[in-house]
This record gives sequence, C-alpha cells and structure tokens, in this order.
Amino acid sequence: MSVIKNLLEKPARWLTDDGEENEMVLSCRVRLARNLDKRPFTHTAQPKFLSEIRDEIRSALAGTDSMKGAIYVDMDDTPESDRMVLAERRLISYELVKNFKSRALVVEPGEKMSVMVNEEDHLRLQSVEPGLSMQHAYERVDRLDDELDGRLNFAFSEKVGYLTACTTNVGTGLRVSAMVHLPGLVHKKDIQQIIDGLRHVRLTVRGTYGEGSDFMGNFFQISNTITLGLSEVDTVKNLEAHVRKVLEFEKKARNVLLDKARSLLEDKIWRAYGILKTARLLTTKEAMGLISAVRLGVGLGIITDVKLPDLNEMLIMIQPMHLQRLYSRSMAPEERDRARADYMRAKLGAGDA
Amino acid sequence: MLCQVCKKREATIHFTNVVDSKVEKIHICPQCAEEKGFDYLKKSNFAMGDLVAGLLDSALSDAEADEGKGRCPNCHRSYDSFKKIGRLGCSNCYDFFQEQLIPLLSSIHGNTRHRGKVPKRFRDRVNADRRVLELEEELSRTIACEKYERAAELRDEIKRLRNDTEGGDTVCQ
Repeated sequence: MSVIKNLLEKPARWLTDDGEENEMVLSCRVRLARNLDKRPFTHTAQPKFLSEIRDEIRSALAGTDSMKGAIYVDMDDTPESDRMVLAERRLISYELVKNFKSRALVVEPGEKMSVMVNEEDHLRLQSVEPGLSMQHAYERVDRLDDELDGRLNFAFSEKVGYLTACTTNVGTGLRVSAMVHLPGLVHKKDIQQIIDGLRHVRLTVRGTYGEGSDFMGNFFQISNTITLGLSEVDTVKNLEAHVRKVLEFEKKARNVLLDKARSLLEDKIWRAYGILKTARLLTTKEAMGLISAVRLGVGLGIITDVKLPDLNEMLIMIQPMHLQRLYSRSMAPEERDRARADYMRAKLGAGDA
Repeated sequence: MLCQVCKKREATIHFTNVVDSKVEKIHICPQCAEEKGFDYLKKSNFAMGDLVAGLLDSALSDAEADEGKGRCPNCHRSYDSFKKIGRLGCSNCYDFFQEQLIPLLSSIHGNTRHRGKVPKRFRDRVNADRRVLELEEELSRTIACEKYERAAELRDEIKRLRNDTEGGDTVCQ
C-alpha cells in the first residue's frame, strides 16, 4: 500500500528532530481517550455501528486544522504486514493489528500527530514530540481535542469527566509518558530504587521495546497512572517534575561511573560499537543492548561520529517487519538476524558493508 | 434442542465459550444468530470472547426481560459482564452502575471527582458547580474561625449559584 510506503521512506520526525535532554529522553507521548456519547464502546458495538462511528470521526477530523494534510489509513484495506509496520512505528497498538475491522488510523506525514479510531475507545488522540517535551505534546493534542469538541459529541459526565471503556482512563482520558534512557542508573544498580519511588507517587514504569518486565536496552517508559481527580495541566507538570528528577539522578550516575570506572565504561562502549560495526548476526535484544551502550557513548562525548537521531531511527528499523520491508522479502528469524547485522554495518559505515 | 434465545425454533448452531476456565455452551437457531450478529462471528477473527460474552448477555437479557433490572438500558450490559471483561458497554453504564463504580474508581484513582477539562456544552454548568464546591470549603473554614458575617455572605453566594445552575430544570424556586 502506497501510504505505508510513503511513511517508510523517511524516519518519523519525532525520532530525528532536536529535543531538550535528548541524550536521555527519546520522546514524549500524550494521548487523550474520547468516546461518542451514548454509542456502544468499540468492544460491544456491532460491525455496522463501528463503521458508522469510524466514518463520523473521519469527517470530523477532515475539518480540523490540526490534522490538515493527514493521511487516512483504513485498517480493513491494510494487510497484516502493513499493520505490523504501523505498530512498530508506534502509530497503532498491537490490539489494532489483531482487531482491525472498521478500525482506522489518521496520521500526519511527520507522524507527530495521529488518531486511532475504534481502538479500546472510539478515539485515541496521540501526539509525540522528541526529547523532554510533554507540555508541547499536550498542547497539540489539546488543540485537536478543542477542534473536535462540537463536531463530535463526546461522552462526558460532570462528576467523573470523559467516559472511557476502561475505568482506568476515566476523567481526563489522558496518558502522558516519557521514554527515557537510563544506562547509568542500571549499571549503578540504582534503577530498582528509582522505579519503586516512582510507583510510590503513582507513576507507572515499564521497560520499552520489550514485553513485560524485561528492561531491554535500558529504555524505560514513565507515565501517569491516575486520570481522575487531577487536571491535565497538573498531570503533565507532575510527570515532568518527576522525570526531571530521574534525569538528575541519571546524570549523577553517569558522572560517578566516569569518575570511578572510566576505563571499564569506555571499554564497554567501544566494544559495543565494534560489535555493531562487524557482527554478522544480531538478535533484536542484542542489538538493543549494543545501541544502548553506543547511545551512552554519544551522550558522554566518547563517541562523536554517530548522531543520536540515527541511533533513534535504528531502534525502529531493527524490528522484524521494518527489516523485512527494507529488504523487500519475508524472512525467518535467523535470516532477520543476518539482515539486522547487515543493516547496522551499512548504517554505521563499516568498510565492508 | 430449542434455541435458547427465542425458545421456539430448533437450535442448529452450537458454540462453546470459555471464560476464566468456565465453560459455557450456546445453542442458537440461525435466525436468532443473524439477529444477534452471530454469523459475523464465524467470518471474522474479531475478539471472539468479547462478542460471545456480549451474545450471552443479550440472550440472557431476553430471558430476564421481565425483570429488566441490573442492565444498562442503553447497551443492555450487566455489571457482571463488566467484571468479566474489564470494560464497560457504553458511556451510559457510568450513570447506571454509579453505585458499584464509585468505590472502584476511588480505589483506582484515589479520587471520584473529575477536575480536568470540560467539553463546551458542559462548561458553564461545571464551572458553577466547581465554584460552589470551593465556596463550600471556604464556608466551613470561616465557620470554624467564627467569622459569621463572611459565612452569611458565602451562604448567599452559594444559594445564588445553585439556583442559577438548577434554574433550567426546576419549576419552583
């Protein structure tokens, strides 16, 4: 499908644009959950209602300035492999890969703003920005929400706010998250303490790019847990304040590591760089770990010939469906390990690639 | 075997659903199956569990039609089905199951009142409500420090705001 092809031609802007604290923060994401009043929620709606809801949302979105020039992707016409590409690019959830009937995605070409239609809620307005930028990301999604208010009749209660299919999102329907890279805290073994502290203030920490509790590549996603009783602005400010504190700890941890174990740290970083430039087989997990080490090297000024945006793009490209698209064929896992290693060598300008 | 929905025609479609390791069997005739959207089930890989649970609910709702309670009048879902799948049927469920939901919301969020954004059509009303809440808090503080003159002012202001917001609905004021 040509829409997917267009998206694949260049990396998403949130990966390549400059952002505050971007050596530790990859991106910030904001989503608002909204539903149409009195209509059955997605999981209970009959197919014909679902497509009605989808079409209504589509025409409402078409009239907004925020989504001017956006691309409409009908999931019914999108094969599974393309839906996987969209999921790997964080544009849709794996839920939408699986349940795609009468679902849709509306996305602006830079991929910073998008709307999932008929996921768990009728609308999931999403905004992603590079670096520590959750306020900006919230402002954008808030503007789109304002534009839609009136065009669509959102389900709302004066007592409990915006009504969502799951009670964990009711109220603001707002989820704000920052994707942070914390190798310093992991190496110093302080990470568990930080995670426990964040949980204590009702924030959620997840390892990203890995399922469940596996903190692959030292990337973590920190997000708000509660949506009821706190305003949107306070939710965003609160999360930002805590993330800034975590970044302070990460900076300190990096300095301690440099002070006390400089040679060890440099050795680890240069070895990782060497493997990425020469390996012939790389699993996703191994590649993630190595990219993480190189990213730390770039952040500390040890490695200077690799740019952060390139490392960000690699995190997306080494995923299974993106690799298969890059090499235009379907591959078994072992073949993908080979392709992943080839891609990394080419990307890092290794002599033989 | 008779169809468990209409209880008239012969059931020719038999379906087994497993929820939380409990096995539930559905026997249904083709007409009712079509009415309930069951034929769609066979053709797609839609979230089967969800839809079947919904089908069970609507089948049951026919049987329980006389009772007519315990189900959201808008989407005909029961609180039990919410407990099973963790998602409510429609926005009206929040109103209908309010009593059960409030303690749940309190345990999830530590709060039961929305303090965030409000859609345009609710804005005036909610702002007035929020103002009343603020004034009521101030009122109890003023009474605590025995500033009765101020308390009287606040009471009047609260009364005025209450009348404003309820004006549209109440006949006698």
